[in-house]
Amino acid sequence: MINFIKKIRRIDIIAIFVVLVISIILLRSFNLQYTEYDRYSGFKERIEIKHYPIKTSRGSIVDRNNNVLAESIQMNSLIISDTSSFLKDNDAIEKVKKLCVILDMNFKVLLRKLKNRNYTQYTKLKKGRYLSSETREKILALGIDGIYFEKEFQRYYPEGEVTASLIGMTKEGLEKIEKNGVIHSKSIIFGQMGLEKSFDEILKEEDGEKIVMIDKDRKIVNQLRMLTIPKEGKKLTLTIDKRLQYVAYRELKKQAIKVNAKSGSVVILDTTNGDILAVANYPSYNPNNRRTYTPEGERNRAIIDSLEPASTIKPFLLAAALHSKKVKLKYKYDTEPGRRKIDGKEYADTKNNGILTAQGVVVKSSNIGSIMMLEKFDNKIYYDLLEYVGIGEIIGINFPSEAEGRLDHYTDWKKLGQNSHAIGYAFKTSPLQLAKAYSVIANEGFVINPRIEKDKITYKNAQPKYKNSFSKVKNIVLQKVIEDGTGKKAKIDGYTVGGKTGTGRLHIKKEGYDSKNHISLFAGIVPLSLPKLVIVVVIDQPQTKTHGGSDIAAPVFNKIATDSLRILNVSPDNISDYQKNVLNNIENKNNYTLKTLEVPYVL
Amino acid sequence: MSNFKIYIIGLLIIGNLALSLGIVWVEHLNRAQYRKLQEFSNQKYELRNDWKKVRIEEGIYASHSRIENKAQNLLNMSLPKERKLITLND
Repeated sequence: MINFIKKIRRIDIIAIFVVLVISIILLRSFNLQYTEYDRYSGFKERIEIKHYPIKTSRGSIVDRNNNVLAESIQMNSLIISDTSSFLKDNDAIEKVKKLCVILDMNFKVLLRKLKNRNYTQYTKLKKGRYLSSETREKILALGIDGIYFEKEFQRYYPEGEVTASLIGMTKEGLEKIEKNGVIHSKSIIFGQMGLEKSFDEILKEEDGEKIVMIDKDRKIVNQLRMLTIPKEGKKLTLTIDKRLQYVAYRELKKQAIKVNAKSGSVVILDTTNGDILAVANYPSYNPNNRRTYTPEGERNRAIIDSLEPASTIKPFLLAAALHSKKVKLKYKYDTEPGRRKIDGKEYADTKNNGILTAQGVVVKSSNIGSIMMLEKFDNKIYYDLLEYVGIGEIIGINFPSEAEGRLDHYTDWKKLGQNSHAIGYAFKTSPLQLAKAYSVIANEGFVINPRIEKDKITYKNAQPKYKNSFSKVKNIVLQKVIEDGTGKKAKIDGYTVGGKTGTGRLHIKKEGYDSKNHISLFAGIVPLSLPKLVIVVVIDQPQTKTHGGSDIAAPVFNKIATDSLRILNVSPDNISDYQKNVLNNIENKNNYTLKTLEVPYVL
Repeated sequence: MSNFKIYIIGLLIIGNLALSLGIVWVEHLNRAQYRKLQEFSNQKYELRNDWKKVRIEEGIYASHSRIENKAQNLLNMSLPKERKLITLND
């Protein structure tokens, strides 16, 4: 035995050792490759390679001066991910109680909330918009198990109720997508109402996804493949001027509350390019706080509601009459005694105006005079003119449920009541359409289609129609309405103003016209010498003794126009004598000082 | 086997080892750089978010209603009447 051991050389020992090691390695390789293949295949991929979502934000909405009207901001919402560890023992419960103090929540309410949701794994405890970074730090310092902060986008509307009915709101929802034959549901944000809805395709974002490699700290170290390229929502620039929008809303709200009106709307249109500068509606709601939402507040009456324009249509009747060449401004109409039965129906003026000229019919807003005027010429001419200015035709500014209005063919007028057409009834228009129609008067026959998107090219016709008629109506008649007629309260110091009041009776379906409830209107152009703005004011059902457009709507126009002209730096075109005197004095003084002033020569 | 061949093989083995180590080194550098890039892009994202917040804040502070309120209540300012205005032509 000893001899045998002595015979073994050192090299043999090494050889045996090497063979043993190789056998072990081969055995282990066999083990890994065949016996434990299922366990280890894709092991690296599972721990190192991950699908990583790339979140993007919805496009912002800005006004014409690049002021934010809607913006998505990433916030950290507080999420309870694991209820069992969240309330596992007394120590944890104590921490949660402290958390409730920080969040200003009742502990019992929180427990009830969790119970109502059946202690599901995912509960949003607090939205990111209500958590400041300091609060977040405090919560993190508590070291509570089972909660985390989730990044998510939230939409802000800095202008709140001022732009609410125009901009609208977004809503969180689920979108079902099919991937490899399996239907997944994905959380998305989409426009629910207003421009957020109609421009959803532009504003909408698309989240991306990539395959990445992560290291032991779970940090991304390499991007292996881009599965979906993220697309950020595009910016939407509106023609709205935030300052004018505020002024319009402020004055509308003030008046609506004062006269206890049911609702109201204001449209401000730039006559030079068709830009909609403001669309304000009352009542409204705060889109940043969903609890204030009401369907009434959501309604953008200026764009989606149709109403009978009443007396505000009379300037168009006069323009058509002048165009027919059968009526002249000085033609006289006997409206005595201010109340008359025509075709079996009784029509009345607000007072007995006696004998009026054609111009006077519009200035004093005589219903009897208007009916007599329409009898003098062909209905077709009036119909063509109304159609030309866009009554009863959808504008197409891309707003959900935009009103089309209504204008029946003139051959049907006899049946529907020709006289009603003369005084602005039996056809319908939205306040925005009315503003467009008045911009045609302001531009003396040029039609410029209103637009809400700043980059959109708008339609303008090359040759104006009815130029002479509109020119006369604008420069002579509408100004007279403000100076001597029903629109005295719309007069603005320093500027020439043209406009027309209107008072319509509320039409209730099946019941007919309500003699108690009225709609007060005013449509005006300012400054008249070089038109810049058309402003339409509608106040629905004021609960006051006087309900006429001259008392209710015209003062609102006055205030909005005064502020708007100042904001837009429009030069006054109607400087009073007093001002001229002051100016002359200053000029004389300057001349005097300039002549006598001796400048010493200084080395 | 001549000495020359032995040298060549030795050189190749060393070169091979160096190259392998080089690949590992470059891969490490690449990962470190990508990690940094990721940090910067996150930072960029955060900054953009902050910028959005600041823009909204600016909108709130510069809002017409706030300025008007401050001017009227704090500074006792009011709009002058027309007869007090002097208009200078361009």
